[in-house]
Amino acid sequence: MTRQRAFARRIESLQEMFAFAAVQGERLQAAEFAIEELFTNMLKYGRPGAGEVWMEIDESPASVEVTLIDRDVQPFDPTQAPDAEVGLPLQQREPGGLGLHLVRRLVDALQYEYVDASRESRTRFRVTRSQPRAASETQGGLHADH
Amino acid sequence: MLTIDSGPDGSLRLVGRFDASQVAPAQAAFDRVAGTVRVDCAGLEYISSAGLGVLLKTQKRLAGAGGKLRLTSVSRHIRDIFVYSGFDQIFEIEGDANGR
Repeated sequence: MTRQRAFARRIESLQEMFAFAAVQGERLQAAEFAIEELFTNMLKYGRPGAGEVWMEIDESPASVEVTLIDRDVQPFDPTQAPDAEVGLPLQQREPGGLGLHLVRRLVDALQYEYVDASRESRTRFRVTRSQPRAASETQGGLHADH
Repeated sequence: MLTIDSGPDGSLRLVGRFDASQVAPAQAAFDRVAGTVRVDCAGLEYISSAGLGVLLKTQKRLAGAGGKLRLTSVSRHIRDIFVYSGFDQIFEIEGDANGR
């Protein structure tokens, strides 16, 4: 089943987006994390005054796919953003840069598509309904199939 | 919604969701702490990179004066986020009693 809805381009939309996605169970946290990071990135880098951001939810018994659609924007591929340097000592760490680094590790797949004709960015991620191994068990982290 | 309670010993207790909309009030609360500060995360349901930024900024400030944040009762999901962020190398982190 597919549902879609438009959301105003402001941080206060987050709670409505989480409610609309309505992901249940233990993968809720990963899904909400990815929605927040991808959406706040669109707010940060999108053109001020641009239109609403659309969210599309495609559910199956095995997984949930979420697509965020931003129109009239420059291309920005979150699958290609560099990883944060998480091994640096405290005094060399700076806030920022962790969002996409974490999204790529928390979701099961992340894809990006840009439609030139409509200048439309479509960022899609998938979470399966079963919990992957914990980071504390794998240490190296999971790798999304981009 | 995120609630931050301050204990008489200077510790903090986080309850709720630490997302981007909570950064300003949370940073104000963390800016008031000093020394070594226990942060009880038992009631913390969710944290995004915006919340991680507040913790990191505070840890750097406290470390400059010989202090630190000690994160306690951290759930499994949030611990995973800390590990992927490398925070397990720069914070003291204790899991919750149930190993969630």
